Order: sequence, then structure tokens, then C-alpha cells
Amino acid sequence: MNMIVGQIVGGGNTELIIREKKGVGLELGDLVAVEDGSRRYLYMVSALEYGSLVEEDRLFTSSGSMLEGTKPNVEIPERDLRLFRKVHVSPLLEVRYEGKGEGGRPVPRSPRAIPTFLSKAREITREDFSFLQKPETEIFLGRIRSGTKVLDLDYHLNGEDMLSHHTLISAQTGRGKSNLVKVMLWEAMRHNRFGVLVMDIHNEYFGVGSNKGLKNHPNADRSLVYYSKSPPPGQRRLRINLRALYPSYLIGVVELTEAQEGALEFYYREHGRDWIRELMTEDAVREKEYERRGVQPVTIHTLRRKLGNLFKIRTAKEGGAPYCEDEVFDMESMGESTVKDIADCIEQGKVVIIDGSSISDDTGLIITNAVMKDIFHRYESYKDEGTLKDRPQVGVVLEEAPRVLGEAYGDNIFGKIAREGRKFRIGLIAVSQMVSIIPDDILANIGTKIIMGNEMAQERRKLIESASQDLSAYDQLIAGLDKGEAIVSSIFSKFPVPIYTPLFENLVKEVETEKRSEKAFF
Amino acid sequence: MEDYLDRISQSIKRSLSFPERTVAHGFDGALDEGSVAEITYEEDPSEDLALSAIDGGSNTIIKTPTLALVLNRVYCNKFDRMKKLDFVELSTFVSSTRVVTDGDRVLFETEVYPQQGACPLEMPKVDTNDPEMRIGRMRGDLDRAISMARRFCEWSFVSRALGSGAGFIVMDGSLQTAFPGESELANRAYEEAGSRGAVVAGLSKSSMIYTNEGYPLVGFLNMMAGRGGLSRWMARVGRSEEWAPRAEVYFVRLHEGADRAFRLDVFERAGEAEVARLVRSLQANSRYFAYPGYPYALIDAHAYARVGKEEAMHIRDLILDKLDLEDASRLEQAERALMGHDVLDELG
Repeated sequence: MNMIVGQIVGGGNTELIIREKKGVGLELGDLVAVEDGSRRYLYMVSALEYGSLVEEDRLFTSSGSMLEGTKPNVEIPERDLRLFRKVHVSPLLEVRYEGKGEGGRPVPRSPRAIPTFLSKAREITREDFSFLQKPETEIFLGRIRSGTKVLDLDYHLNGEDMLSHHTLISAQTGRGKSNLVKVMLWEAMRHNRFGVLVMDIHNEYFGVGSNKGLKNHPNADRSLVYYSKSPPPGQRRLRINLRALYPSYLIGVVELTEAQEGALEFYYREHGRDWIRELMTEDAVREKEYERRGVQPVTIHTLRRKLGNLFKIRTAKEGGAPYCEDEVFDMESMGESTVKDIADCIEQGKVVIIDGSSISDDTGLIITNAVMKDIFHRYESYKDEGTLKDRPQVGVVLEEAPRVLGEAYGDNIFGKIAREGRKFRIGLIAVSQMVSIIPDDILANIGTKIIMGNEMAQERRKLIESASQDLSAYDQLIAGLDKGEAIVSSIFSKFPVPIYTPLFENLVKEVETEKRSEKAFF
Repeated sequence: MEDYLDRISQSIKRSLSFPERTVAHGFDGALDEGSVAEITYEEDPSEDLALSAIDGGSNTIIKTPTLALVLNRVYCNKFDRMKKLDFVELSTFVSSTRVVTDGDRVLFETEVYPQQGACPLEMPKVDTNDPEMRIGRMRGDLDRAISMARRFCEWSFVSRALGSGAGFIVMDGSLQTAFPGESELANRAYEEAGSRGAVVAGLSKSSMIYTNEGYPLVGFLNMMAGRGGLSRWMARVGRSEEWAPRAEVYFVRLHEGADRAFRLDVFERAGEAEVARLVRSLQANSRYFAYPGYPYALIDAHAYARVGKEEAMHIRDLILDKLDLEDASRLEQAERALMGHDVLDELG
């Protein structure tokens, strides 16, 4: 028999009020179930308040007397019916049982009714979610939780749906964003059919040295590719030849004026794939000539400074050749196919991690932009050819997403993916704590929002407004989510699902233990 | 204008000029400062202080000048000090009281329809001219008659409360009997309690008892207690056939934080030691933070016995559903005979 936690004493379709049974101690976010004939309703605790049948004035007088010691020797009996807690619960789901047999088939839907007045509410159990079915390409996101209690029940979304309709992971620093991304990528690697590009700015996903990471995945040898300036054995050196970059890779991700954008295009038209080298080469005569053709020397000088910083290019003095100081970039013959190679791997359904710790954020974005433009171009062709459905679903993890999705940067490949990617099987996994600066139309296109703890009211408001379900009662709850706790609001779910994502390291340990015991068995 | 206000205030002052010594009107004992004795409470966990409280509640379902349907509930519990024990008895029933005639006689006839937890009652037909029903030169009225069933059920609950094993049965209100046939019922309850070694008592939230000089008795006793600096006290007022046949009447202030003293009627056969133990039991049970000095068992019984207006209206709807339109309309017309005041109240 499941524990009764309270009884419905009021409310309506937007929220119910439950009188809590003494001693239960419900918390914000706890889930409760109400049985009502062939229906079961699931609710989430959204607010708690005191209730008392004793008039307020008398309460103030009595508590004052107790506090000040003028009426010592008084008690509040354990089973006092006059004092209680009123628990406000928001509707999550209505489950109808259809057909014959043991309880019938559970069919979930958004609540369209309310349970019988004075029905009893009980604590939730994993059986209450028996309607959840494991999708074919499941991506484990965590375990369903009731408040802080984690149920022994995994929650998955269909990877195809999730990636093609984009995913937003929103949280303040330290609430477990990176852990969740790692878990999702780990899951993606199980299927060998999700190509995902990750610009790993903190170099935390692969698992450098003895750290656990995606390299520990059983499928790592065929599903994971790692690019780094200093790769471990068997992985790939990150080297990008600047001749493989087009001006368009910079536009939309690097802060450039219109004149600067024009100058980049100009150099590309003049010098083809050597446009960066030529721009970085000081040549007063040529600059004079270009000035006559409309490119101001100041624009060239500014671009030279910007590109120099981005790619760590040292400007050659007159007559000498510019060179890349950093090993990541090259202007000679190395790394010419890197962008294409990365795109190939993604197209083969692999997770590609680029160690972005040794390059600037802007440079990382340029590389990501380059790869995704290539992919987008290829997938556009596949669509035209009618072969798109045979290609793996691909995606890109975009950390600090508002940087490139914000209106200030205008249209770029990421905005294009957000708006049109679904048609081409290309999706975004946008990670950010500043959702409020992402344009509404892009937010509206994101099908799954994984909302982690966020104390910034403005950010919470934006998340609640753009969620797939009505989360208006969840404001305080989102503020109070602990590390690893999240609410998944998805167009692929009938209700906002509270989850707890376990530590990635524990997930790895579980798999390694399973592997060991399998070996022992055979 | 000031003149008449002065005269009123002088009159109030006079009504509060308590004497030094007095007798409660209708009672047998003299009262002075020495009659008010301090009571103390020292916890002795081994002492059996269990008590059972009985209370009833009711709400009118239908009322015409000659017919009243009332939803009644009677409840009893068991407490050991402030702890509620697992013993509860409850009865909910509808009582129907009608005015009937028998030759020249006009009678109240009551029938009982149990709803939950039967309370088998044999309700006597009561003559409206019975001295216990009459008010002055008037026949007894329906308003008084409709509370008979509940009161009778409360007496019958003494037997059930004794089933809890509690040594003290505390009823809400006095032990005064006011209806024809009630004394017999009370006597049966006293006998049964006596045979089980239990004491029946009644605790009243309010008291109209006054002194021979016409002063409110409780005011007099409070003044005497105040003089002695007593924060918990009891005073034996005595015996009175008029106020409480077969009972000894006391006033008790059960907690130092109490804002008033209460009248306590104790069945006449209780000895001094039993009364002292009863008062200790009540003190141990009167520590509720919001109303210290009043037994928590009675607060609990009041809450469970209460019958809400909505509950009565629900029964009313069920009954009206069973009537055809014409009968329902006649009933409403009959009810309007008593509702003139309600209309005026609605007019503001």
C-alpha cells in the first residue's frame, strides 16, 4: 500500500490544494498520484503554505504567549487537526486505463478533468509511469525524481526526435550542464547513428589522462573521434589549414563591421584560398591600390589585427611571409582536409570532440561554423537527391549558445540550423545560462528544453514562457533545483518531467562493472 | 445624553460590587475567599488520568412551524493527558420532530433515522404542555424540542465512552436535565458509570449562575481567586436541584494561562479523591496552546461532532429530490413562515 500523503480539499484545473497528512513532509517538486476510478492523475508540488482553523489573532496571541513565556506549560498536540500544511499541486498528467485485462492499457494525456473532491493523494511510485515506453533510439537523460527522491526509473527521449528538433540545456554555472551533455553524448554513442560535433572549450568530455570521459565508452573506437593540439595515441592532431577557410566562416561568429566583411570578401575574390595569407602580408603598394578600389587601409589593418589574434598569425614585414605561431593553424600544406574530415566523421554517425582549450572561443566557433556549413551543404544535397533519410541524424553542441544565436550576430549557420535544420536532419544542442538573449523565434523552434537550476528570475521567466508545457507554477522550483536536477519540457513528452542526471563517472563505472561481470561469466 | 450613560455605568458598577461572602442562588453552600482552593498539577506518569469527552453537533435541514428535520452528530474520544488514543465512537443521524395532536393534547413526536454509526434511541412523545417543556405560560416550542434527540444520544454515548476504559467521562455542557424523560436516561448513564468505577462530569463553557444578591457567580469567584493570588483554582459551589440535579457543581480554572474559569458538574457520588483526580485529569488535558485551560478532548470532540451547513443542505437536496414539484413547493411555502427575518436581513 502506497503512503497516503494528503487529501484534496480545494482548487481546480490549474492547481489543487491538498491538506497534507501529518508528518509526511512534502517538498517542492515532489510528485503525488491521485486514483480516481479508471483514471490516475499525477501532480507536482508547486507551493506549500500553512493552514490553521485557529483564527489568526488567536494564533498570534498564543504564539506570543509561548514565546514570551507568559503561558508556559502549553502544548501543540501531535495529532492536532487545526494546524496543518496546505500543499498546492500543479497538474502533470492524466492517465486513463483503456481496455480489459490487469488494469487496462495506460494512456497518458494532458489533464482535462480533476479528480473527485476529497480524493486521497498518495506518494508516487515507478508503476505510475508504466505508460512510458523506451524509444528505439533512446537517449537516457536521467532518472525520474519526486522532489529530491530519485525513483528507480530511467527517463529517455527518442534521440532522433530530440536532436532533429533541437535541445536547449539551461542552467547556471555549477548545476550540472557539462555532466548532462556528457551523459547525452555517451548515450548517443551507443547507437552509432548520431553524428555530433562538440567544440569542447574546457577539454572535459573526452577524458584526458586518467579522467573518465567518452573515451571510456565501449563503442569509443568506432563512434568517437578526438581532435586536439596534443592528442593521445590513436587520436587526431587538430590542425586547420587557413586555406580551407572561407570568409563566410567568420561572418556571423566574429564581430565584424560591414566594411570589414566586405574587405574579407574582396580579398577572397582577389586571392582565392590564399586570402588570409595575402591579407596578413603587409604590402603598401597593394594597399594603396585596394584603397583606390574601395578598401580602406584602416579596415585592412584592423582585420590584420583581428585575424592575427584569432589564428595567432604573425604579420610578416614587407617582403617576408606571414606564419602561424600556433600549431593548430597552418598556412602551408598541413590540415587542408581537417574540416572535411571532421564533417565526414559526423556524417558517419560519430561523435567528434574538438579540444578547444588551446584556441580562443572565436576560433572554436569559426571551426564549428566551417564544419557545420559543410555538413549543411551536404545534407541539402542529400535532400535534393532524396537520400537524406539514409543519413545519420547530426547535431552540434553549442556552448554559450546566445553568443551566436543572439540577434546581434545576425544570420549564421547556427541560426539557420535552429530555424531550418529539422528539415535537413541537423539539430542543435544549445547550452547556456542566458536564455533571455536568444531570439523568441529560435527558442520556439527548440523542441526540448532541459531546465536546470537557475536563480536569475529573468532567465526563469523566459524559460517558463518558452516551455512546451505550462510551467508557470514552477518558478521557485526551478530556482531551487540542485546540481543534477532538471525539468525536461519537451514537445515529445506529455508532461514536464523532473529528472536527476547521475554523475557521468558513476554511469561509466556501471558500464565497466557490467562489462567485467560479462567477461567473468564467459 | 451623558446623564443616561452615567446612570448605565453606575448600574454596571453596582452589578460588579461583589460581596465578601455569598451563596449561589439555588445552591446549598456558602462561598467566600476560603472557598477558592489552589490546585496544582505534578506529573505522575503512573497515574491513570484517561478521560473520554462527549460532544454533539447539529444543523437544521428543513424547518416549518410543525416539522423540523435536523442532522445530528454525536462523538466521543479518549485522551491520556494531551495524547489522543485510538478510541472513537461516532453517530450521525437525522431526527424528524413533528407537532401532532392527540385529542386536545399537542405533542412533539420525534423519529430518528441513523446515517452512520447507529444510535438506537427510543424517543418519547412529549406533551407541549409538560412542565419541563413549557416556557412561562407558553407551550414548549419546536426549537427546543428539536434538540432533544441529540441530547438523548449524548447521554446514550456515556455507555459507549465507558467502553474506552476511561475513568472519567466528560460531557460538553452541564449535567442539568431539561427534557421530559431525560433524567431517567441520565440516571441510567450514572448507574452504568458507577458500576464501572467511572465518574461522569460536564464542563460548561458558559454559566448563568448568579449569587443570592444577583451578582454573576463566576465574577465573584474570580475576584476571590485574584485576592489569593491563585492562578489555578477550584471552588465547590454546591448542590442544586434546579441547576444540576444529582451533581455537585464546581468552578475550575485549569491552567495559569486560561482566560476564564469553567463550570464543572460532577456526578454526586464521586468522592473527594475522585474529584481531585478528575481535576488533575482535566488539568493534564487542558494545555492546548491556543486555548489553555479548556480540555483538549472537548475541543477535539467539538471538531468531530460539528455538522456543517453544507452537509445539512446536501441532505436537504437529497430529500427534496424525492418530492414531486408540488410537494416541494408546499414545503417551501411552509418554511417561509419562519423566514421573515432572513428576508429583512437580506434587505440590509
